[in-house]
Order: sequence, then C-alpha cells, then structure tokens
Amino acid sequence: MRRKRVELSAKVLVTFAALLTSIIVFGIFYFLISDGVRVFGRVSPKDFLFSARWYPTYEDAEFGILALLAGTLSVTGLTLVIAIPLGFVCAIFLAEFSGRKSHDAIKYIFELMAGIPSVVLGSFGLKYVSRWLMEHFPLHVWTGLNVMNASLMLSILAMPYFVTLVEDALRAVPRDQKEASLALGANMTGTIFRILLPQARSGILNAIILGTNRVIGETMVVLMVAGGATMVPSTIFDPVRPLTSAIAGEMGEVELGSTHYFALFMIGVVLLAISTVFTLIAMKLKRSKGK
Amino acid sequence: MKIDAIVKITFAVVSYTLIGLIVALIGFLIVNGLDNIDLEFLTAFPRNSMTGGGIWPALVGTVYFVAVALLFSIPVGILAAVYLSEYSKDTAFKRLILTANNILAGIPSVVFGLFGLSLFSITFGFGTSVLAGGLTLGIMSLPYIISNTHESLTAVPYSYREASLALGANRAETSFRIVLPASFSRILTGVIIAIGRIIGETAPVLFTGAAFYITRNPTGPFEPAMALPTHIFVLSAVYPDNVTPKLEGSISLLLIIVVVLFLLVAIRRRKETKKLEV
Repeated sequence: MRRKRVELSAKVLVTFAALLTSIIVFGIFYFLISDGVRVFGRVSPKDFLFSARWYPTYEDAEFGILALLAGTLSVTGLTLVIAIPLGFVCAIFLAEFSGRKSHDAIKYIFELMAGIPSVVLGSFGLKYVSRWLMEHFPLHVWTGLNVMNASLMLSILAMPYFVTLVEDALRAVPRDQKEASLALGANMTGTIFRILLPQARSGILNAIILGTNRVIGETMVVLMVAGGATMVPSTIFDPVRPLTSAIAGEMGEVELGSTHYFALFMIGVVLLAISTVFTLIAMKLKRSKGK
Repeated sequence: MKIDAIVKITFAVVSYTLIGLIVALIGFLIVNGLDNIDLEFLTAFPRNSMTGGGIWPALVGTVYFVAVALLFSIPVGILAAVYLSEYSKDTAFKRLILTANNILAGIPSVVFGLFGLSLFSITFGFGTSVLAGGLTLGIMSLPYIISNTHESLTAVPYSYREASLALGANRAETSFRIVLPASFSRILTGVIIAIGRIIGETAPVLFTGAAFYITRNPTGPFEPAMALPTHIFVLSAVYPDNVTPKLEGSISLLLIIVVVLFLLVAIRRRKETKKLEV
C-alpha cells in the first residue's frame, strides 16, 4: 500500500512541477498585461504605439514608444549586419574546414563568448569603445554612446548563437548529399554554397530568429552604451533609447501605480509579445524540418 | 581547386582573427583589474563613495541571489524534466509544457525583472529583497535546468529502465532510484551552466533585489543585498572616474568566475564523451 501511495504522489509531484512552467508563463503574461493595459486609461493605444514623443517625466507627460521602437530596430539591425556574416564564416569554417582539436578549442571560446556578462560588455563599451569611436570618427560622432557602439558590443553576444546554431544546421545535412556533389566533380566551395547552405536553410532561419530574439531583449548593453536619447536615429552614430533600456533605466525612479509605471509595463508586454512570436516561429520551423 | 584553398584560408583567417580578438578582450579585462584585487578588496565594505574598501557585500549578495535561485529552479526543474522524459506520452499536455519552456527561455531578462517586481516584490510583499531577486533569477534559470536535465535523462539507455521494471520496481522507483542517479553527473554539468548564465545577470535583480550600497550584509531573505553585476553597473554608469580601480577589479573578478565555470563545464563534458566512447 505504501509503495502505491509513493508511486502516486511521485506522479502528482512531477506533473505539477511540469505544469508549473506553463503556470509561470501564463503568470508572466497576466501580471504584465494587467498592469500594462492600465496605461490606456490615459494614453490611447494609437498614441502609445505611433507617437515618437516619449516624455514621461514632463508635466504634460507623453508616452509614445515609436522612437524607442526605432532605437531597438536600429541597434538590432546593425548588430545583425555585423554578426550574421561573421557568424556564417565561422560556422562554415567549424563545420567544414577545421580539424577536431582546433574545432573543440574554437567551440569553447565561442561558448565563453556567449557567457560574458552583458554588464561587462556594457562597461567596456562605455569606458573604451566610446572613446575609440570619438577619436577615430571625429567628423561623424558627436557622442561615443550610440547605435554603432551598442551594435558592436551586442555582436559579441549574438555571434556565438549564430555560429553554434548554423554549424548544427550544416551538420544536420545528410552526408551523402555532400559526397554526391563532390563525386560529381563540384569543388568544396560550390558544394557549400550550392548544396549545404540551401539544404540547411530552415535551420539557418531558425538560428537567425533565435539570435535576433536574443539581441532585441538584451538590456544592460543598450542601457549603458546606446546613448539614451529618445530620438529616431538618422545615422548609425546617433544615440538611441531602445525599449529594454527605457524599462531598466526608468523603473528605478518611477512612482508605483503612476501612468509612467504602467507605460513601462506595457513596453514589457510589447517585448514579451515579440519574443513569444519569435519563439513560436522558431518552434514551427524546427517541427516542419523534423517531418 | 584553387578557389577551395582561397576560401578555406580566408575563412580560417576570419575565424581565428575573431577568436583572437575575443581572447584578447577577455584577457585584457581580467589582467587589467588583477592589480586591484587583494585581500581587502575581497573582504571589506566599500568606503569613501566607493573609491576605497572592497566588494565583500557584493560577493555575499551574489552568493545569496544565486543560492535562492537554485533552491527554486533545481528541484522544480529536475521534477519537470522527470515528467517530460519518464512520465509523459506525446500528448497535447506535453507539447504545452515544451512550448511554455521554450517561450520562457526566450523572454528578455528585463521582462523577468518586471514580473518579479509585480509578483514577488509587490503582490507577495517581499519588497526589494534577496528572496524577490533570487526567485526572479530562479524563474529565469528554470528553462536551462529543464532542457539540460531532460536531455541528460533521455541519454540514459532504455535498458536501464527495462531492467528495473522487469525486477518489479514501479515507475517512480525506476525514475528516482535508477534513471536520475545514472544521469547525475550530466545534470550537475547543466546546473553549472545555469549558474554561469545567471551569475552575471543584472536586469532581473536591478529592481527586485539589488541595493546599490549597503553598510551591513543582509541577515534575512527579506532584506536587499548588493550583487557583483549590479555593482559593476553602478560603478560604470553612476559614479565618476575615480572609482575605476574598483570597477576594473570587480570586472576582472566576475570574468574569472565565469571563465572558471565554463572551463569546468568543458572539462566535465570532455570526460562524459570519453566515457561514452569507451
């Protein structure tokens, strides 16, 4: 009898633990949305999303997130432009050209690279990269804290994701496809670009989606080095204030239950929606590849 | 044939240059701050608006935050992974859990901070405290623990389960006495990875548990604590340049901890693959 009881309670326990994960996800949605929607008591959804005027501390406060959104998009876009090509080159090198020993060593460095705390990169960008930018691009740069600086630091965080996931995607292509191509007289370069990369495209797309999600959600780097100016940037050397940095930078000073407080939660809802959609697309891609 | 050689060399040069730059960056940040780490730095409270003393309370606080996080995420994560690998069939419920886990893994860290603030600090009334910050980090580390443990459990050969069930053990006994102990080493590796991920996290504790400056260490879970990553943030962004030696020391120390953790993971993984090959 006792064995039966233990057996049953174990089953209940593990099922509940698993269920708790979903409860937490629902809880996150619930708590963010229930606080976030209260901003619409004072600001219309249209103004919130499509106004570029974010002046939360003015007497006549305004809460439009368009400029913050533009900040996030510009930093994310430039990061992808830097990190994707470099990540591809490293991934192809790892998958096709490197020996086993050097492969393992390089792989370790990339894992370590992904593990560098973002606050450390933020500090490095703040103290060193900003000065370097000011000295080397004096005609364009009026502040060392800008889109470029943030994107350089974010590339360091994003690249390992691209490298690891793209390499996995390349390795998942059946060996005989590569061998058939080589046997037919194609060279290695042609085989990589005409056979392997097209075959691995869903895995590659998956890598880009997951990496982009990571970049959009990164907080400390953009808080410290993106410049913090609420403006729609016109060059890559303009300072910006991405969504995540607005939350992290302003939450500490905001009055609980104020419109500003609710507005920051609504920005959280926007970020939550973006990351959920990206995750679901990535899962769908992976499943369709599995079939 | 010539083009292959050119492509190979170009790709190798780009890869090794990048690797070299990263190693140089990490090496520079570690060595640069090494001079500022001494016994006083490790064991004293900050003094004279952070220009003197050390980072003792930030170290203590980081240990507290990580400990609370793991106390939550290890048991819940392992149990959930046991469910996924040993109990569940391919049902809609299992897919729901896997989807929830993936969504959780993709949520930005600052959003966890908002959730922790709203649920733990305000609704539960924990305020800005070790408990609220630690639980927020715990929820953030949960998907890492679940995914890693799930993978470790599925790697245990099916014959172990069959042998156990054939001897008359029930599913609970098989899962907890046979499968779980057999994958203990891999699960531990996963826990180290999770520690490496959360030890440098700043945004989730920024408004749930971190104090910028305290004069005595917290004596209970309901008090705020300093943390190494938030300390680095504060020294970089809030204080003037005369705190730079302390900042460089803190960065160096945090990076040393992270490098050691990742080295540990690499060594353990190597041993595990060797064991499989024998």
